Amino acid sequence: MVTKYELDKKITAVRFALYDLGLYLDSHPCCEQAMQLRNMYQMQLKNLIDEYEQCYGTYVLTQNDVSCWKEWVAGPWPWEYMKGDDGCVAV
Amino acid sequence: MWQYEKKLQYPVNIKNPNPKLAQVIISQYGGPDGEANAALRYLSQRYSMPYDELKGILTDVGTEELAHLEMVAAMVHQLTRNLSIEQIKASGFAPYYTDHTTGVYPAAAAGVPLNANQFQVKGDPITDLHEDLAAEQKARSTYENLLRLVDDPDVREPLKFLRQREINHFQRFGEGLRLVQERLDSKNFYAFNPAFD
Repeated sequence: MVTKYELDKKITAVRFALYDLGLYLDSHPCCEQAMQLRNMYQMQLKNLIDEYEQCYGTYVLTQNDVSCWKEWVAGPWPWEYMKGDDGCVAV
Repeated sequence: MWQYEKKLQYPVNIKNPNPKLAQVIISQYGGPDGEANAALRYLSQRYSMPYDELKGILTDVGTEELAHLEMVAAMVHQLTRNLSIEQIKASGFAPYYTDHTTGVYPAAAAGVPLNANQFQVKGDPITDLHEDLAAEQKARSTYENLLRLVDDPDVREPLKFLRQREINHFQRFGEGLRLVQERLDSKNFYAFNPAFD
């Protein structure tokens, strides 16, 4: 099974690709090639989030995804140092 | 409106605190070519931008700069965690520590606080876009200066990512400037303000 950290890294990378293509599309709104690429990444993102949720529960990104507020408030917050090779243990 | 995402745009995980580096990296938080000035510049310039593509670019780049601001803060925060007074004395961190302890305060490397005098919103798309192109280059130079000072790969990787984004943004603003120039009235030889004249 892919670790939570590895999956999270993949999701972050695909979300970045989507964002960056969006920025490109701001100045090239009619570029079909970029739109196709974007659709492909959108599918990839959906699959990765499905995989994540099957293994590790809800993928929480914004407050809209939150079902348990205690989990949202609980650290680690993004700027906090995470110990361990897999970056999974909050300090 | 904006919504917070509980993630960094690119991971920051620095094993070894180093207050010397924190003191120079802080400049990209609150310095003249830092991310706070960048975000405020772009998000403020949107309102006088007459073309939709440019409104999109300024919104998205301005928003991304806020994500970069958070990354730089994470670097400064992690570089200054668990410091002893001895380390603070030995590393030259004492002046910053006196005013801000180990909090993250928007200031330049030399201690000058964040200042809106360091950027402009001229209300003229061509003027503003030239400023934006220069701003991206200045930030790139700053990241390159920082990379020359840093050996730790945990610190270099996020700095390299941020440097690359400056190059990407420069490209997008260049395209934006071309879009504005193409739309100038054919009689507007001298590129008068297309948002006002």
